[in-house]
Parts: sequence; structure tokens; C-alpha cells
Amino acid sequence: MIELSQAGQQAARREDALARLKLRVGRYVGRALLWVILLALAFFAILPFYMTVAGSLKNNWDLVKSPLSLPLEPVWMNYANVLKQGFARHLLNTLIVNVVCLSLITAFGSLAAFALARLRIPGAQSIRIGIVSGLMIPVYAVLFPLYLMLDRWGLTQSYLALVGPYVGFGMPFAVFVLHGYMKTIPYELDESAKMDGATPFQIYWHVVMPLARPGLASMLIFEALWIWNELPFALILIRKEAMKTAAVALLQFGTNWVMDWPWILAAVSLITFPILLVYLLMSEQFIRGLTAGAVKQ
Amino acid sequence: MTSLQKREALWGYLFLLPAILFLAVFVVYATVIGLQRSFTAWDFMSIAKWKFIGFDNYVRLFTDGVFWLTMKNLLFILLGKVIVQVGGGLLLANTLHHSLGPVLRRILRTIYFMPAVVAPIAVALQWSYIFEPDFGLITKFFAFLGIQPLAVPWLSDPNLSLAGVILVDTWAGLAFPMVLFLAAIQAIPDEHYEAARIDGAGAFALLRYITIPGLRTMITVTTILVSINAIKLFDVVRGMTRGGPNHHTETPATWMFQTGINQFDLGYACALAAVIVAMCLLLTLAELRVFERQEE
Repeated sequence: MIELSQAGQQAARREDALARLKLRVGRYVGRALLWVILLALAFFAILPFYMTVAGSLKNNWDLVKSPLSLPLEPVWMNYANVLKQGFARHLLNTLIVNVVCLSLITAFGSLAAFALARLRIPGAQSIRIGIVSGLMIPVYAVLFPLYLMLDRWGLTQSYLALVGPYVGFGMPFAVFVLHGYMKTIPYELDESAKMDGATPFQIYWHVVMPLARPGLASMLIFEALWIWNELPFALILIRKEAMKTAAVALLQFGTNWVMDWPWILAAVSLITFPILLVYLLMSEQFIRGLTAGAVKQ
Repeated sequence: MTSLQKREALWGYLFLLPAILFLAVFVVYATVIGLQRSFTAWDFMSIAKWKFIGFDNYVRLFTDGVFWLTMKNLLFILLGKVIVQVGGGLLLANTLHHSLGPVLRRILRTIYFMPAVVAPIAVALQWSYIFEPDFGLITKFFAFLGIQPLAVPWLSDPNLSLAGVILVDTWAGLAFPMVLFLAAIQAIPDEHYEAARIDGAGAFALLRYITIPGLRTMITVTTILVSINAIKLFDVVRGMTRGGPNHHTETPATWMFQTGINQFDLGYACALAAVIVAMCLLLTLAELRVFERQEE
């Protein structure tokens, strides 16, 4: 009896060890599989960017022969040529539009958000809802009417045509984010400034704006990226070749220079990598800015 | 109101004025005009003239085969994006949260999010290069594997072009839901997971019984956001296929551009725009309802 039970115990122990081993192997396999999937995804996220840079530094022959290889003798001329072909001008146009629009959005958006968050105004709640409702309207609603309007004002020959639409459509998000952020700043600060006789503008400028910087950063990243990448408005509203933005120029390269991939990829790199570089330096702020509109604050 | 309060309100309205002015002119007024023009015959070539024609544009729209084709394409795009982006985003967020330390999690999140910050038109061209018929990676890859039906020029193939477009747009947007979920998972108390683990719950059970119920609102909202993005899809398609071959990748927005700019039929394009706006509005109102219910 005793021997039997000992044998049984041994068998049980062996089984137990086997089960534990299986579990451990299973966990290792699961772990390995997990890493394979995660790394494969990272690989696929990076691959097109690698191929873009690599391709932009090859000549046509190497690019067709081996699109994946490293560009061992980089052809920097591709960049020089694409910039000379007018892309420098298009990038500059995008940059100018961006700076002008961001200045206006920041100034007017923060003033409006300040009024709604920090001043006592009759009807503030309804005004805020009215402004933020603008988020619901897609740009397609206004493309052709705006073309008509801007054409009448004689603006479609210049990138200035984009300023009004970008500021108008950028405003709801700016007010939404800045209002949400300004609400979190302690109101005692305003009160004590008021006691000292500060005007609302002085409170806005000296008290609230310096403290609203993180909110401003989120807002600016979102709007800057949107304007840098925007296509539908830019495609319709600017009729003069030299005034077109980089995004529109890229679209035209894609359809016109079908054969010249190194040039196209150089242009793609020029519009992509400045943004990507800033993103990698401050990814935390980028992600916060880009998702700020998605969650209610 | 005391005079001090009156002065404060006056300042406030003054501060609001520029923002409201821009909105009123470029968003509200232009939207109203667009809606009104959807009931007119309006030609791009004589843009100053227009004639009221009632519901004719809408009648034409709803009897237009291409319009229904864009709706069919939209349905596939919606399904593809929601399943892959929301479903995949959920799995990824859950995995990153539970199986990785904070440093690795941040590194992978940063890498996965990279495509989301790049101009969609740049993404379109990058992938046109990868889909290139003669030396593109996709064709080479499937030829290497010996899968001949897929070793063809995808973007000019009637059966594969839409799949190609969906693949690229999903690639670009994959990380967006993931990031939202990742932030929301962090709000679920760790004790819930601990308690379930002690009860012997595996990874799947944790996802099924704790993560998904905990993120219910977030999942609904993200699904709506992804759907709105699908309805607005334009840049990637315009850059990769221009809606072709033979409208197989046409979306409502690319068709609107085609009819308005290339066929000069602005009245018709405005009717199509009104349909796009209506779809977006419906989804946004649904989103607001979700938020309201969450607050109750």
C-alpha cells in the first residue's frame, strides 16, 4: 500500500513537473510570438520611410534594380533638382501660410477662449457651444462656395486664399482646447489681479497666457500639422502654379512625373522628415495634441 | 448688472469678435451658401451665374450609379478600418499595457504613431512606390512567394485596388485608436486586473472581462471617429488611384472633386457635399449622445 502510494505520488509529481514545464514553454513561446508580432509591426511602420529616403538618394537605375538596398553612393542631386524645379517655392508657401495662420489662430482663439473661460459674459455657454459646433462641419461643405467668394475678392491667385479658411476651420478646435485648459488655472489669480486694477486684457496677457502654455502647445501642434498636411482646400483655392503649397505640388508630381521616382521620393522626404524629426524629439506633446480633440475634456 | 460687470462683458464680446467673425464668414456663411447651391444648376465655367432647380441634383445623385458605387466602397472602407483600427488598436493597447515595461511601451508607441503625423498625400506617394507595377515591393514579394494572383499591379486591378487603398489608409491610421485606448486603459485600476489574475484569469479573459467593459465608452467614441475619417477619406485615394480604375476606389469626396472640378458641375458637387456633411453630422450627434450618457 505504502509503496503504491509512493509510486502514485512520484507519478503525480512527475506529471506536475511536466505540466509546469509545458506552462513555461508555452509562456516562452507566447512571449516570443508576441515579440515577433510587435517587432513586425514596428518594421512595417518604419519600412516605407526607409524606402523613401533610400530611394530618394539613388539614381533611377539602382532604384528599379534594388529598391531595398542602402544608397551606398547617395545622389544628393535629386534633392537639389527637385528644389530647383519649384519645390523650394512650394515648401516656402506652406511655411508662410502656416506661420500666418498659426499667429491668427493663436491670437484670436486664445482671446475667445479667455473670454469664455475667465470673464463673466451673459450667454457664454451658448456662444462656446456655437463655436465648438464648428468641429462637426467637414471642409467639403464649403469648398466650392469659398472658391466663389475668394475668386470674387481676387485672392485665388495667391496662397493668401488659404488664410481665411484655415483660420475659420482651425478656430473651433483652438477654442475647445484652450478653453478646457484655461478652466484649470486657479481663478484667485484673476481676482487678485483685478483687485490691483488690472484690465481684462492685462489679465489675459500677464496672468492667464503664461500659464496656458501646455494647452497652447497641444493646440499649436495639432493646427500646424493640419495646415502643413492639408490638401482639399489647397488643391481648389489656389489657381496659380507658383503659389501652390507643397502638398498640392506633391499630388501633381505623383501624376505628372510618373517615371521619375527618385525625384518624387526626394519631394516626399522634404515634406515628411522635418515633421518626423520634430515628432521624434517631442512625441509625447505630439500625441497629446493630436488626441486632444478626441476625448472630451 | 453693475457698470463694472458691464465693462467686463463688453471686453469679453470684444475678445470673441475676431474668432466669431472668421467662423461666421468661412464656416457658417459658406456652408449655408453651399447648401443653397446644391439646389441650383451651377457651372464652374460661368461661376457667377446659377439657376434654382429644386431637388434635381439630389434626384440625379440618388439615381447615379457612381454615387452608389462610392457608397459601396465606403462600406468596405468603413468595415476594414473599424475592424483593423479599432479591433487591432484594442489588442495592441492591451498588449503594450500588460506585457511591456514603461520604456519599451513608449518606444513602440512612438514608432507605431509615426505614420499618423505624416501628410496623407506623402503616404499615398510612398505607397504608390511600394505598389509600383514593375519593380514595386508588393509585386516582387508575391511573385517571390509564388502567389501569382496577388503579384499583379494592385492599384489598376478592379478587384485589388480598393483593398490596396484600405491597406494604406489603415496603415496610416492604425496607431490613433491604440493611443486613445492606451491612455484609457491606464485609468482602469490595477487592482481589478490583480484580482482577476488571482482568480486565474488568462490574458484573453482579462481583455474580455476587464479591459473591454472598462473602455466601453472609449470604444464607441473611437469607432465613430474612425468612421468619420473613413467618410472624409480623400488625400490617400486621390494620390494613389484618383478613384480609379473605373471608379473602383471612388469615395464620396473624390467623386465630389471629380464632378465639381473636372466635370464643372458645381451644383451636383454641392449636393454630394451635403450628403457627406449629413453623414458626418449624424455620427457626431451619436458621439455627443454617448458622452451625455456617460455623464449621467
